[in-house]
Amino acid sequence: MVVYRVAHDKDSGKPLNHMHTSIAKAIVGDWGMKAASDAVQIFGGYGYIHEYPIERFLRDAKLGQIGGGTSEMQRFIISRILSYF
Amino acid sequence: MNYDLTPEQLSIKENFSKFCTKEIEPRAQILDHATHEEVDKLIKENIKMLAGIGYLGMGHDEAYGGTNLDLISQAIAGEEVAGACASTFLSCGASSGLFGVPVKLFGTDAQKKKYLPGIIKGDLIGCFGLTEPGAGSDAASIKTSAVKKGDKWILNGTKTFITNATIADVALVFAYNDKSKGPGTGVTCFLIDKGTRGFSVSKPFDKMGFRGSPTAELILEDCEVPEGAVLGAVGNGFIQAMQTLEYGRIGMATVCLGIAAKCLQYANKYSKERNAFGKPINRFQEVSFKLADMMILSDVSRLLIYQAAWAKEMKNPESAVLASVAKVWASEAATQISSMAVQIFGGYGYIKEFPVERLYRDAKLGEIGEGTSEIQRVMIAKDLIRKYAA
Repeated sequence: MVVYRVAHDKDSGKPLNHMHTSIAKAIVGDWGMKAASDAVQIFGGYGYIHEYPIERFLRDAKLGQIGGGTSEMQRFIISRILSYF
Repeated sequence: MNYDLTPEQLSIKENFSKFCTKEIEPRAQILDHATHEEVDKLIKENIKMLAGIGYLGMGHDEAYGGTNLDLISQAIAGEEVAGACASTFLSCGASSGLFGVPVKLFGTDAQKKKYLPGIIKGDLIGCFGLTEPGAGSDAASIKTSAVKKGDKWILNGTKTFITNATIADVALVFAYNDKSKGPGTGVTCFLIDKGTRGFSVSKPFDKMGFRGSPTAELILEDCEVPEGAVLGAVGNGFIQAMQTLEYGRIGMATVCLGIAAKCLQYANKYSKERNAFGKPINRFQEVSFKLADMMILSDVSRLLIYQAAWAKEMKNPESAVLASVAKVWASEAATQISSMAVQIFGGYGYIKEFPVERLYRDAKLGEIGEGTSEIQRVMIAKDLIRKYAA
């Protein structure tokens, strides 16, 4: 929903809402990593070997916290916006 | 799909925010510190005030004095009420929601006429009696019994942790009328008026939080009620309770959101004004990242609540699980956010003069009331397993 909201902002021609984009990027990046890690844990040993796709998800998910502005940068942006309120 | 509030919803937000900031919020701390007797008086006044601006009628039909607004509008107003005083939200919710909604959905015309106008005006206060000393999450194991004797029902049992018990004029009580049929068709819900013989209320509990909303036990000792006290039909009680709790979960998520948003508001303001090492503390990353996390967690809570409310409004079969998702997220977010708020306030956050101390205590109820986080996860997991079973 946080992602769809950013898309909706864009589709309805509104100026970019930095709060919405940073919230989406931060939470989806962080929870993607958590979900992938939990999935590996549920698969146990099988989650750790190349034969199953799960270990790839965990490797891929890590990029979500780094690329396109790290999770830390998103929090920096959110807190800067908050400081104006 | 649309993520913008309607002009009507925006004006509800503004009106409730203004009213609650002026009338309700200044009383929150007083209510929290009041004695049980004072609480009963003050909370009734708050319920009456909010009824005056139409809050208790938002989910009810116009025929009974309500405004029949959508669930998102109710959540918007609820967030403002809860942020101003979570106890007030809880007592209003128990009366017009937990009591009012099942009467609206399942009651006979006579029952609706008898109770709903008073509930909506704040002249009558209701409560909802399902939980028992030995049956919380496991609601099907309630022991309260109802035995038919001529044209009367005789009820025996004890209900506990009942919001509004000491101030309620009427209670909904769930009891087994036929244990052999099991919960699905063996439980019936009864409307019991205050003053009915055999019906009494215990002393209120001393709670950690929500101290402005009275909670006590309902005691039924050979309590005799007429046939007309059955809500809807005999045997439908358990399903009525479960359907009501779906609304209740959105409500509990909403009170958590109100608490969380208020914590963020206070902490954000304080962190700009408080200086340490020569600059405002919000310029330190340890503090500013907490504020960002508070914003992220509460913003997602709001979206999940609106999603659950929308799904319920659209009669989406997913609405029950979405209400559970919103409730788990919003309640756990609120405990984390309120803890971070106390941390940002430092020593001031730990003393009763500052409201974050109250908010921190209030927040914890969210993970327990209306179905614990654990029970929500059980239901979410069951739903997932069922979906992927085929």
